Amino acid sequence: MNKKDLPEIDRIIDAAIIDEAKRLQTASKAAKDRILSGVLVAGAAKETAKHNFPSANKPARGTIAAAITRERLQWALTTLSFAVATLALVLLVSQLRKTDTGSGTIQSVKPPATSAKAQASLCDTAKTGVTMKTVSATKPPKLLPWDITSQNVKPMFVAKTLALPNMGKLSFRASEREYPDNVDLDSVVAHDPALGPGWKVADWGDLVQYSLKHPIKELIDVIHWTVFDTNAKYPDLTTTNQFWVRYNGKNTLPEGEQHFRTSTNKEIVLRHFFVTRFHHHVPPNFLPHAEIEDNEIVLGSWYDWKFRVLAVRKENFH
Amino acid sequence: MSLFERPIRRICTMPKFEDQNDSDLLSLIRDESQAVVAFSALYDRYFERLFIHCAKFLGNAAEAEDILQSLWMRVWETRGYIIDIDEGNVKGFLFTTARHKCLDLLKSSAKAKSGSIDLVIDREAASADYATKELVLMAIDALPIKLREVFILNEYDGFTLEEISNLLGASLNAVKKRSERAKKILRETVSKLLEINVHE
Repeated sequence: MNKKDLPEIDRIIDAAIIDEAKRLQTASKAAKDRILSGVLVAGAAKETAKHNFPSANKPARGTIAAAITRERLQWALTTLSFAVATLALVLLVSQLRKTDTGSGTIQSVKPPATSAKAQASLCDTAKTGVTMKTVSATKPPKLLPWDITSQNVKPMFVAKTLALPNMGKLSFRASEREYPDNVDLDSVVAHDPALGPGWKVADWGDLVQYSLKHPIKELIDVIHWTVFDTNAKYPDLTTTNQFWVRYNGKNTLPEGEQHFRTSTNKEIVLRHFFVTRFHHHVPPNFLPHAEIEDNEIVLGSWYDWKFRVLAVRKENFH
Repeated sequence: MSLFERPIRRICTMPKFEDQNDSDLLSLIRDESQAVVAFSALYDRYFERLFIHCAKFLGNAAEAEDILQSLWMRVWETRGYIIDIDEGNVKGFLFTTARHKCLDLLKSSAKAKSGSIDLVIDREAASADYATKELVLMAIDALPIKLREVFILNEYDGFTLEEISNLLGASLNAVKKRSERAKKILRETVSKLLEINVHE
């Protein structure tokens, strides 16, 4: 091997390596998604198996196969008895309905009486100065987040929110800076450059009140509220689409509803309320606590994040 | 009963994982509510490099897929027990695990022996059936296993010699010697190849 040939030899080696690396890169793309889905699906299946057959790994008497068979048999018996009980219940209910129809006293499921009467009284123009746009006795307005007919949630909390005296036009403004969840929101509102003493932390109820009088689009335009992009691979949490708010005067979820950081580490974290804008498309793993205008904006709760704070004009509440 | 008495499952607000460092991603993988997305982010970050490493090390893409499937499966299944790993060591952890799996496979299939056999260049093959590049790649595959792994980590995976020494648990001096020897053998092989081409 001559020394003068060395650069040429190195060039050939490098070219071969680059060429092969590119080829392997292409091959890796084909394998990438396949393996990821395989890992997640197999992982989920193993976890389900563990859940359904917790003692499958402990051979007691007889062979492992026999133990698994016993587990499966138990599971099948449980499922069967549950199915029989459900069937019996369905038959019983249908029988009762038939009886009612015959005597002319059929009980149809009506929306709870709160919808029409309570809302009408709470939003009476004479009492509160609010003129509702779409309230009717037969069809509750779509924009109400506590439409209970489908979710079976009692409206006790909502009644309190509606009962807030609502005078004049509400003005909303977002803080200039972003803040972690554990700060004193009142102090933030008092000292943020964009806000000040005239403002208070917005409550979800304020947004609801506002939505009763105005299209929520007006508020969205005022604070330049962008949409949370749920189609993105890693949905982007930015300070332009999330704001800390309060819910019924509280910053965090009630006790007992807090989140455990991990299953092994039982550290409790406080989940703070925030609002985000989904523009009607809520991701499947997001559980909204409440929503306005068919999930145009949504109330959620989370921790360990920095958002801006949504504030509302204080004097409007006197 | 209030609105909150509904069971609250996962919540949603997913952080921007691309900006998280490896160690943070591992912590997020331990959090059940964010495990899938954080795992996917870590997977995206390292899959390609690990695949190239294993495929080249084993000389077989299908076997590399098997190795990676079991590696990522292990990471996923043991996510609740992964201890804190410092930033920078996550990469080492993944590559070391992959390396051990590759070595196990090579040992079990007795491929390790083939790596130590000197490459014999077949004149006919060189002139007719194989392109120059392919012969170079064969020469790499034919390197003794210890030299080959240093060469692959250095040339294909972009590890520095110092990183390789940490990864393999060998001294920096030893790694340097292996790297130089691998390059020397390769150059000699390619030189022979060139001579054959010249003579023909």
